Amino acid sequence: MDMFSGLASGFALALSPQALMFACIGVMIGTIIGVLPGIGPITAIALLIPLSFGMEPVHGLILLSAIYYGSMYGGSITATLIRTPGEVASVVTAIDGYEMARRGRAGPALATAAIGSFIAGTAAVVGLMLLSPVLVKVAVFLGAQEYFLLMLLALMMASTLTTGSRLKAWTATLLGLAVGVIGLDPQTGTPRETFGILQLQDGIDFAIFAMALFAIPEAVNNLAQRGKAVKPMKVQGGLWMSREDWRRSRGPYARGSVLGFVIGVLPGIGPSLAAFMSYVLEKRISKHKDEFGKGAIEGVAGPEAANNAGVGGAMVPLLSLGIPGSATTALLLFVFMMYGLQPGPLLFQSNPGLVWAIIASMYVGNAVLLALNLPLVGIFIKLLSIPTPLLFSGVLAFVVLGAYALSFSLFSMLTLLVLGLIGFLMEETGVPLAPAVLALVLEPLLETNLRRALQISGGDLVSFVDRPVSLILVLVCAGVMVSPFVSRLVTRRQRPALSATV
Amino acid sequence: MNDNQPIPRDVALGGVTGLLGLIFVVGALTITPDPSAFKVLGPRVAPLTIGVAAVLVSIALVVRGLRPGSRPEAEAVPPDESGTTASASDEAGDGAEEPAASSWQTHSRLIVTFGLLTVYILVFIPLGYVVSTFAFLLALATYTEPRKVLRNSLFAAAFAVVVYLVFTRGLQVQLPPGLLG
Repeated sequence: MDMFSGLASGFALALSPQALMFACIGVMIGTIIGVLPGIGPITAIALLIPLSFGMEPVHGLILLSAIYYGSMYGGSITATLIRTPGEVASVVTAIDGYEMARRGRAGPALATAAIGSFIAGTAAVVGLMLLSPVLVKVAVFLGAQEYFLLMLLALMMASTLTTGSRLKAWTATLLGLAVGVIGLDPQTGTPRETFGILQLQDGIDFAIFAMALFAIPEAVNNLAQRGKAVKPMKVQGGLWMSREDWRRSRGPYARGSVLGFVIGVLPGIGPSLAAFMSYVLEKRISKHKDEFGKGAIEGVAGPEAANNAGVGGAMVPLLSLGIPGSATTALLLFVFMMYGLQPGPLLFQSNPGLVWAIIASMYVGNAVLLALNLPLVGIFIKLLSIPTPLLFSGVLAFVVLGAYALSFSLFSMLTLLVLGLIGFLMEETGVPLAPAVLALVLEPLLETNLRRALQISGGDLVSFVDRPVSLILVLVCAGVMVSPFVSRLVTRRQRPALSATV
Repeated sequence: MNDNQPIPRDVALGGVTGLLGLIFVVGALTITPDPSAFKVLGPRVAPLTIGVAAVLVSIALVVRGLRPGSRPEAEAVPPDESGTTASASDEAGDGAEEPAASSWQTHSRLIVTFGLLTVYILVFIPLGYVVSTFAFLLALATYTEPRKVLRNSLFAAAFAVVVYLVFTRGLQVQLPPGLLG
């Protein structure tokens, strides 16, 4: 099926009343959950996986994808008005967005975030549509070696290009890998790390892991009233941008879209890094550098465009290769598998209708996001005044329900509790949660592909370097591993020079 | 960040990681590979590698945590934002501005919250969804905000009943009926 007929059939499906309804509901729920302080896209999707159990795959996937980008936008509302980013991607929005709001410019800040999200989100879907079929064709030439290396690269990038401590990111990655090993060996059926516990043989459910890590620590911390209740900023005046705002937002939209998409496509680094990079870029090239940190509209427009373009970008490797590049797409991969679907080149052939319907629904969803969210922003702000005890005890009750509904057993709820405690301790010690989630999903895929590669080559590791693509990937992996040490060396050399000039 | 604590957080984290890594290594060594099965990469390899890597990372964490004047790794990509992220991710965890007394209060709150969650999970099936959820929400919300019992009970009742109906009727997901069944 070529692109246009594919897209046409996709739109036919995505615009059917039911699919349209799910896209709208997803965007609404996503925004609502994203607005709630401290709850980001991963939590939103993990919480709502139980809802999608009984649905048709197309509808479930449309719903959850819509929740994904809806919650990205919702996070920017919270970041702007109470300076509490729901997830890392809107941390930078919290800088200048909040400053704009403090200066009575909450309206333009929210407007530029919404419009930037729409433009970048739509541009990214165009990119996704153009790039995925190409990657699908390329994928034919990728063997087990390349798949293994691509996934390894995703893990390495997630652990190395982190915004915090690298060692802690590796700790998180190893935790995810370790949890992924628990259960029966996929190839030989040998129980591994189950310590004789029968229920562990099925492995630890990914959705439980994600819910436990992302929802429980946040809820418990908020209930212990460590996060203080903050009054949201008032939105004064209109929600529209002045001509000057438009002029200053245009460039950041365009640069943010491209940057976000490219970074989103790369394995292992998701929208959050895209937002950071965009912020740094805008600050560097801006004529009003001094305004950054004091309410520069570029500091909202660029990162918001970048993180939403990153969502579209992250869907590319997921749909065309079946490789999740970020924690959130890892969750979506889990949902695909839950429906018995394996994203990747084969899915484009065996079920093109589904793939194109998801892509088409992303156009629709982005438009719905813009149409609904700006007018309804007042209602979303009201959500910020839901009393913390009710909100977060509700979240806890909901994750327990989710864990129960996955396997109807006490054991899965207890697993949730133990992992929730681990997640809480991780947050306490500053260990990032997202690499763990990504690692858990990638573990079986890594192992299967490595085994396949070695089986084909008869255990010979040379096959990793005598294939051209594989060799390049090996070199890139090595580069990523070495880069922190190199950069440290460089800064060390620069430091004496700097102190000499001072 | 670590200055006033008897055991720096990184050292504690390293200790726990190392312990878990060792348990994992032991677990990996008890795996008995099926001799007839595929030999190139047996079932032991992955857990063993992960366990050993965890032990190595834990050593690095402890060493870094014990280094005098050790600071949490500051170089991040991009460098300008490291401060921002740290403060954002630590917002929930670090009660730096709180005096010691309220930190104790926070600790007891955390323990009670986790305790209530544990009890909820244990009675979920025997008492049934509606009863256990109502009790859990009422208890937790009232513990957190004791003055608003009426509001809390209305919320708890509405949440339990609505979610039960949505899941059992709307989504065809069966929840334990328990006492009401």
